[in-house]
Amino acid sequence: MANLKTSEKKTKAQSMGLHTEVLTGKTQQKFFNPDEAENFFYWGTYDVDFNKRTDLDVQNLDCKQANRKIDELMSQGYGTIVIKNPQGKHSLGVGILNKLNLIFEGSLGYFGVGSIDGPIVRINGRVGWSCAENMMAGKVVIEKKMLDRVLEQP
Amino acid sequence: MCGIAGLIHRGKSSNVGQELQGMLQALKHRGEDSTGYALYGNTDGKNFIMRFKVGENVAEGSTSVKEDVSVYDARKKQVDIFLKELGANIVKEERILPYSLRYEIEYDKDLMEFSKKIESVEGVEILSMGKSLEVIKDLGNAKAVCERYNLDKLIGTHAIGHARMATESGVDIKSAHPFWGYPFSDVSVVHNGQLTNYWNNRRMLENKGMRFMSECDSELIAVYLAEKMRSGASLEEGMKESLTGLDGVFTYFVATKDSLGMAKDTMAAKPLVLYESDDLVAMGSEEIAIRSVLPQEIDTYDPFDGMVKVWQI
Repeated sequence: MANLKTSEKKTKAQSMGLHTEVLTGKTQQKFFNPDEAENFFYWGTYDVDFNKRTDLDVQNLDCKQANRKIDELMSQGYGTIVIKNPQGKHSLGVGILNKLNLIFEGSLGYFGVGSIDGPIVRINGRVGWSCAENMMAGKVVIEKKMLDRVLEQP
Repeated sequence: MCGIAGLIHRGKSSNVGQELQGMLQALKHRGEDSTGYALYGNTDGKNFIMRFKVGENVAEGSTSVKEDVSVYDARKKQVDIFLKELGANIVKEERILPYSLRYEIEYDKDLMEFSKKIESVEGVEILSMGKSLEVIKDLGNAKAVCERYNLDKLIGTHAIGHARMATESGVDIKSAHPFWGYPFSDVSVVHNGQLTNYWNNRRMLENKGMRFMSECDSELIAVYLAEKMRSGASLEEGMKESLTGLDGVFTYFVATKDSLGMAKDTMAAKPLVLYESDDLVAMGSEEIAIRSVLPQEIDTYDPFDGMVKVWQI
């Protein structure tokens, strides 16, 4: 700034370097190419086989342990995971960014299968608040309705 | 955000102390400031069971002022003198903690007069008075309170409980739930939510001679229902009236000697999950609480807004 008056540039802005940045090119940068199949998967996801099926009993696990266990099973290539005894636990099956066939044999608590991208989830029970919140892709089927029994009553 | 749980066995008795402990422990993430139990035990129905406190728990996290144990002793002595004056005969006396006592007494006169006299001693509060009701409340989570008071062996028919996260008043025993429906024997209330017309109702009820021990908004429900019942309404009628009489968000349970009721406000902002069968009704703020009693697959449902329901044992 000190030599603004003695500068040889035409304007003050030019002497401050505001006209020298090249703005072209950035918009033409390619982030995603639909032709390349690898772009459809997150980095670090697993290649799973839907025909490989396993059961996971979460009765004595807390939500962190259960979610880690699901991740572990996917890393072994299991593509169909059946969760037994979810018993209304909170935050089960969250953050799955993988293709997966996930079946819950029971009800979920709050925040079930949140932040998922890809899995096909079937819940053979009810869910609490905020099920499948921030889901990007995939399918979630909840089989039991909340108010079934109340509606039957006069 | 508090957690409430309740269960009623129809036609049989069970270890309700242990069962409710499991339910409340499952809800402990909804609040661990204090935990309260209202247990309806199997008794011969002759003597009154009076649970009362002569001081506050001043453990870590408490908002009450520390007092010396000798003060507790003096208050206890005063209570004993008053009991004698009232013509009540102490059958059994237990001092579970320095500040918490349990008396079995023979008494057959007016309870309002009785409790007014006992509570005129400074720092003394009757937590519950009834022929089968026992209210136990203290700071800490469900397991800690259960162990401190040895509740896991209590056999009874029904129970309600509360895990509290203090939002509207201090962390102390006097603001903890459940509240006794003074001056009715065997009536207790737990509540999840906030009431907004507390002071208006309190002024009105105080003018009618009811007593408030704390500044906890939930106490209003107990007093409100007690006043309705005193003027002749049934429990269910009183609860239905409370839906319009009380303002705010609430889901609450009321238990009496032989029944258990629930009410949900018209906005239905506070959660409740219900399980109903022929021999057991269990309900709680979250399904996870019910699962601690019934681990097998069951059908549960959420009650509608403005719903009032009462079950008999």
